Amino acid sequence: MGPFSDAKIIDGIRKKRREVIHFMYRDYFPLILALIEKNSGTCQDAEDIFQDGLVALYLRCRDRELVLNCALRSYFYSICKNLWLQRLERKHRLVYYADLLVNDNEENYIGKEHLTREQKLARHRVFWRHFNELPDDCRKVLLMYIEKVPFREVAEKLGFTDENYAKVRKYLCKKLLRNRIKKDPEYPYCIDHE
Amino acid sequence: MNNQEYLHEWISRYNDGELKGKELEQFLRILASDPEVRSETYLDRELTAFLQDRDLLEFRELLDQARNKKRWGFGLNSLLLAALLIILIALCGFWIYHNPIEKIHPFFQGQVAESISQESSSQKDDALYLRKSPGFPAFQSAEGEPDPTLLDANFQPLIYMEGWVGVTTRAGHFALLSPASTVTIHSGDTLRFHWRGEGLSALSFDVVNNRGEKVVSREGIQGTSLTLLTASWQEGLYYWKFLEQDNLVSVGKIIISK
Repeated sequence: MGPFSDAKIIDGIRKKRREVIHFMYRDYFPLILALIEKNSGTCQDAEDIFQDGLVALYLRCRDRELVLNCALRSYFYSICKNLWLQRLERKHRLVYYADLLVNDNEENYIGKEHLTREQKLARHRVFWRHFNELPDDCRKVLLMYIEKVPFREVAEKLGFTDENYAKVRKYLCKKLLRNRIKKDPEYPYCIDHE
Repeated sequence: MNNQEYLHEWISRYNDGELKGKELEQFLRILASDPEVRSETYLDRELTAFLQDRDLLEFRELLDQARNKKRWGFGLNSLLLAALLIILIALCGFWIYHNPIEKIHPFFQGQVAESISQESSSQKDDALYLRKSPGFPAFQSAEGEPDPTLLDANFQPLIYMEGWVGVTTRAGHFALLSPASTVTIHSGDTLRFHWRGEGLSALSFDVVNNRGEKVVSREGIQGTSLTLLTASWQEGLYYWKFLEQDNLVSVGKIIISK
């Protein structure tokens, strides 16, 4: 596997090529692990930031052409470094706000500012984690619902008794997903209201 | 549907742009007054956006697979390594247990003396007279004169055996009374072994030269003494050993000097 040139990695990430992603894990992850561990993070933090960094890179490649004026390794390193700094800042701010909470009401605690890229990625990761842990039929029914597949067809494809049960199932699955996300300890820290 | 279900239905329809008329007005009033409904509405919108981006979901799945492979890769490697190590140790233990060291060491797999003569003992004990097979080993040059180079070579210690010299592994049952663990004699001398043993089964006695080649081999020794004849032995280092049922009992060294 590999080594891949920067251009091949970018192309591979855009095309979701498995071997390129595995190569990234093998070749780039130790770099990010060292960065995070050197800056008061854990291995789990490093894994999260690394995944968020890859998602950020994927979105960047997918949405428009990525032209680099430095090595991809440096570029990716700076993405992860920024994400980690943003997260540290967010955690620090939350600690600060948590202190304020003793005297202030909850409105001061929950920020209303726009989400940072780090927050969006962290939220997406939390959503994915819980979505991925849903029962198989739940995931399917939610994806079909999003794709506007008629409930009758959903019932037929998933072997439900009728379309009413498919509707109920969709509701219950969404509720389950919502509840799990809300209970996730990572979720409240990136919650934001309109 | 209960109120919660209605509310979530409204939230979904509102986010899909399907809520109209009075229902929409009513929902907007609730939305304005209830922060929890606002939060739920925002979450629902985010979830919809999350589920709609199938490409990103597929990418996430690939990332998870790669991460799991990395985790389990390390884990499996370590586990496999540990398992292999345990199996290897167990196999070695089993092998060594059933194959005493002297059996498995290549130095002991040399030629066995072709003929060992046994002479009846005129003494009271059940002594055995052992003699090296004629013409073995050849420590001399083709001309029949001792070769100094070869002689030097004959005194090179057999490293593996050196470590065992003086060792008695069945100390509780076997006590060698003579000779000392290392003796120096001349070629042609006889060396008398005498030991005390309680409950010993038949012993084996071997002598190897410093190349690990068997010079003398005798099995089924029942008595408590034996006499080794060294007539025609070349100068050099020799190692003797007693075995009981293939287990090493005692080891010593004989130096045959001029």
